[in-house]
Amino acid sequence: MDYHARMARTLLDKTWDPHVVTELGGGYQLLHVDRHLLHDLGGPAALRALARRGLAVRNPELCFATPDHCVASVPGRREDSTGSGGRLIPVLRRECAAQGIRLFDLDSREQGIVHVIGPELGLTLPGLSVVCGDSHTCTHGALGALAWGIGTSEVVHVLATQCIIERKPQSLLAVFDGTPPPGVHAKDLILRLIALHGADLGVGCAIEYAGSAVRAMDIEARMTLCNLSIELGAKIGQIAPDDVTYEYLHGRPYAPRGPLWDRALTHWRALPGDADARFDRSVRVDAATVAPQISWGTSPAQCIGIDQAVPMPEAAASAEARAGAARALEYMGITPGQPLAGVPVDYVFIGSCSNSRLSDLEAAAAVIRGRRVATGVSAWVVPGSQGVKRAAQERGLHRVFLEAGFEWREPGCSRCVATNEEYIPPGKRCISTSNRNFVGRQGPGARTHLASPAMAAAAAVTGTITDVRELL
Amino acid sequence: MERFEQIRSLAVPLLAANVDTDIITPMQRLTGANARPLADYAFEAWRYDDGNADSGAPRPDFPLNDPRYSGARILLTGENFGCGSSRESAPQALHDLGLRCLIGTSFGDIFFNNCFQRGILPIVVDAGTLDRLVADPGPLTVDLATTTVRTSDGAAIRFAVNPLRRESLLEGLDDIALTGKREALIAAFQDRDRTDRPWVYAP
Repeated sequence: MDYHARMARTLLDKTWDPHVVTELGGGYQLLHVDRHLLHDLGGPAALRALARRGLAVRNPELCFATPDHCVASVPGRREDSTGSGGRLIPVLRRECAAQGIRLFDLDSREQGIVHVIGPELGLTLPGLSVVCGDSHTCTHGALGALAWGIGTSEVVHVLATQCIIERKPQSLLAVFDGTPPPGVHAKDLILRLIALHGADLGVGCAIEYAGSAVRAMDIEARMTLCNLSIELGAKIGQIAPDDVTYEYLHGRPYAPRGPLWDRALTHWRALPGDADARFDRSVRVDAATVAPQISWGTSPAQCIGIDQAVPMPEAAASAEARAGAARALEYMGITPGQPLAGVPVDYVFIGSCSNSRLSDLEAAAAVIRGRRVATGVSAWVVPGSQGVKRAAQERGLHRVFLEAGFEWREPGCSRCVATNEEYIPPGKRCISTSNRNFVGRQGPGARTHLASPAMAAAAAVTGTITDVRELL
Repeated sequence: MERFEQIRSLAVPLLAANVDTDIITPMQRLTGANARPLADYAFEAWRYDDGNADSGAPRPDFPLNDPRYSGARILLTGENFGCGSSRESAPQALHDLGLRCLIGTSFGDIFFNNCFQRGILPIVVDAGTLDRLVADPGPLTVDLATTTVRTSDGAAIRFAVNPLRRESLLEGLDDIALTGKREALIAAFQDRDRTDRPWVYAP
């Protein structure tokens, strides 16, 4: 046994090392990809590039595709309900058929946001390497997978070789201890971590989330946590699998069954990091001290508790940071030194790969039940998948939203990515459960405030940014 | 991909922190039919009056609009440059603007990899070195073969670049060609792995 084999190993070590096909020198390695997920925005260009080179997909049985980015969310939608969908979805369908890639098409029972359906269908499993041409692929790490987003050239590379060239990142441990107070959700915890440590905390790192607050979370909340890893600068966010994970996965359509399940389970139980494993860095947040979060600027790090005032730009550490804060305040039309509570909103968006799963919709519905959307506010619920939509409808949640004056729409990325003609008009203000408040992200000139589904629901019924705890 | 040649150029300072790839290439310019080339829309929200390249005049206070920097090939960047979305259009647009080298304290991880796929060299330096380069009246010379940046007064600053990425850029090599040579290793890995983790291969 060599020295390294005897060293205590992290979850990252245990999920990374078994995928190394060969060393490439200079720290780069060729890694095997166990699941490659494709979507309508990047998939067609990559598949066409592959075909142009005269190459075939090496392992089509390990690739899965669905349209999500460019689809309309309007009830009764068709692929050509958006211009981009009309152009891209037929190409995706044709190329997937030609290459033997399974496609969860627009009219299928499985369609949805790629990061919602991967776990939901049991395609994502503990210990698997999962890549996708989308930065929020880190979401899948909630199940103990090794998952990260890649660029289009890398997508072509994976299609051709079922492998990817990567360097092993550093390890960063993020511990959430304690019990979050009522009205505080996974979204608030991760936004708080980003606000505390900055949008570059995790650059060059894979994050492992741990601690009693994480152990107490269901898988959907863990996905919200991992989803925003990339907003911390980390391509990879992971949570060690446990009984909550196995219970979630058991019986899912693409999860192993029978003796194969038992074998997989034995393997998965060995994945959590050794107790004495060392991390390159670590940070800690006491969940009990976190208030519902709301972003005020144009970076997810520009975020405060709903009970705090927007910071003065002069308080920033450097000249560049002061200029950045001033630019963000001007874009957002926000006055520093004041709380955000009471600021009127025009749009409410509950959806996206951050917060569009059943528990997210339940948290929003709990606030909305018996209330109505405020006059002048356009409020949407866009379930993350057909599966989420069906489950919500079985529980009558759609009626709660519809009776309150929300629109109940079809699954897709919708107003998070705004490549589907569903955007926020210039200068309008949206409270959104998505993950990016970047300049122009929800449309040119759109003003985005990131928050949890509960906070978004509270703003919908009051018409202003509101502390959801006042409505509980 | 073209070979990466030695660069001698003024360096454009764009030092805001956390410049995201949505700012570099806005989504609405990636799926629609554009009136102009992609590079014209790069940094659109900051670069033009009213944030629209089709209707707004170039803002004179935006560094890339400064005529002094016309034809510049080096961009000095703030921390976490290229964070956010995995879109490869971001380095592509920078390439189309004529830029070949980015020098900053840190880069978004996905963007960093994408740069090499589009013939752009991202160089990570410490804050002190970046300050020195910002203060330098230029031009700077970036030599990948010797991994040095030469300042206008002739001083040489060594930088680190991964040997694999350096070779690829210098030769204009493509990752797929590189990995294709290792097909036998991939096949052997999968044969072994199918026995160890059979559930992976039977979704």
